[in-house]
Amino acid sequence: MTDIAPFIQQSLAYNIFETSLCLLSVSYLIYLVKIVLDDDETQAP
Amino acid sequence: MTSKDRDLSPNTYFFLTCPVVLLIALMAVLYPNHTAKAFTTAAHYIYTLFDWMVLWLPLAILATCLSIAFSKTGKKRLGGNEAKPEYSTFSWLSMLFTAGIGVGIIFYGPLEGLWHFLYSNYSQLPNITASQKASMAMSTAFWLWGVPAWSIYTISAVIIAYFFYFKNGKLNTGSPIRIAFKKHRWSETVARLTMALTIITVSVSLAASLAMAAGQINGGMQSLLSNPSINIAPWVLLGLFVLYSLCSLTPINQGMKKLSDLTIITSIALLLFIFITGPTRYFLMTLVESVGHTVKGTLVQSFNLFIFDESRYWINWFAMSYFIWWIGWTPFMGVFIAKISKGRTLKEMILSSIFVPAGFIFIWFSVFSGFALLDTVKGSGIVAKAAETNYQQTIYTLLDLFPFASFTKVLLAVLFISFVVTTIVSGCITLGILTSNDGVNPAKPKIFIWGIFMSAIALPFVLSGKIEGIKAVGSIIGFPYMFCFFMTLAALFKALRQDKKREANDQTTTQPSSLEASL
Repeated sequence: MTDIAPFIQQSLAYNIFETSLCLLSVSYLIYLVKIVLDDDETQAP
Repeated sequence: MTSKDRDLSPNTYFFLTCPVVLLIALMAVLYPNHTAKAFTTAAHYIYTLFDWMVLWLPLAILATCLSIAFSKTGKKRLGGNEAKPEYSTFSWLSMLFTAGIGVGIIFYGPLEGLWHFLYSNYSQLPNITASQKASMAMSTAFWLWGVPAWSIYTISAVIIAYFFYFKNGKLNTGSPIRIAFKKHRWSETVARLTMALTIITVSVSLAASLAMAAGQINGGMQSLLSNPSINIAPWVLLGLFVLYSLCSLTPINQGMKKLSDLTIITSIALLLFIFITGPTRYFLMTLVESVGHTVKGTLVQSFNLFIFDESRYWINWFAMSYFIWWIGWTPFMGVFIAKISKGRTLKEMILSSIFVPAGFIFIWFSVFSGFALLDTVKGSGIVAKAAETNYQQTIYTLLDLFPFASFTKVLLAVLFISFVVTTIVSGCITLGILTSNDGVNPAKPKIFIWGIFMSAIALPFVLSGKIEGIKAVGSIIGFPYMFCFFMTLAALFKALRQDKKREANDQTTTQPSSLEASL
């Protein structure tokens, strides 16, 4: 079995922290795009 | 209940944010070293973790600004079709510029090119000549301080102006969110949070600038008096406080307009003096070459993260810190530009507030950074030496190489003072607007109180000479606001889509009737 790459292995906790922040940010940006494009919300009054 | 009614009471923001601002100041005063270290470490993590999200953002914002300017929306006049501009074009442009990063370009004028020449990842490329390094350094300075930076300010002004003039909102950063996303439960909470963050960001950023400016003016005095041990920074701060308080308490169109006009005329005079008495042809060559390199290289630079480079110091502590710093200034600049642009079309506001200040910065950097690079590559290297030993003295060292140095150094000190005072006055007025009763007209006592707070925050750093803590605070204070900035941007897109749909609906309902009429 191949060893886990050293730059992943060196700090698992930090990688989880970093990944969480990045995913949260991406999710936030995707959510913003969603609420802008949401046709139900974009009905002209 | 209307969107306006749901907002917190006028003084609530004032009393909510003041303790936070004072707490930051207190923390920095009591534990300056720990605070500096904590904030510097936090800033480093932020820069490292979010560079992928921030670096290309200004370019995307520029594209957005231009698409709005050249669309139907760009023809809309702020304040209605009959509205007339409140300020002459010269005064308006002066205020746009002096309220923003004017003080920064005076200080960084000779340093910016030098720093990129010495430390940029581009300058570390193998087999690169000094000439290529200088060209890259200049185009990098143009990229960081020019069109992308002013696009960030401009889009914020567009967002605030659009909701204030066309959607019956308030002149603040929370209003777009409250209006565009009123159907969402979270909109009110996010709008309030954005407002609170705006006030904290603006006040701390301005206090940081005030503390740094007092140090820079003190550096100038040391150079003028040829006495490096003299420390009159506290008195400089006191003088600045008196000056900006006086200007703040006069009506905006008298105090700010006169001061902005005077500042811009003085800076043009200094620029012309160096331009004419220095190597004029070289300056023109630098300007032309750097503009060309910037146009050609902006796309590459905006997406170049230097992923595999050994050191990512430059990309973090220059590119990233500048862009986050600019975003931190957007609420202040956005409200201010939106307020003074009444009577202009959106297109006029967008194109002028991006290209006029950026153009002036191009010329300024071509002269000051251009000369510093010329001295480094082909001259004595005295300017680069000053930049490495005591960077606050760099611009004064540069002026020593020109005739009438005593006079130009005094002129420069005056310029520093007027730029700082203009910026702080604009900031106090913006804070006054954000915490005013009607959200439009700032109350004089509140302007004065914000002025006192800023000096109070700046004072300990000026007294101790330790401005590192507040510099770190200033550089990362824009980061949390960035997420609110994204939300306001989404609010603008939403409103533009709604308006486009409404126009399309109007057209489809009017077309059959006109057809029937013709039949």
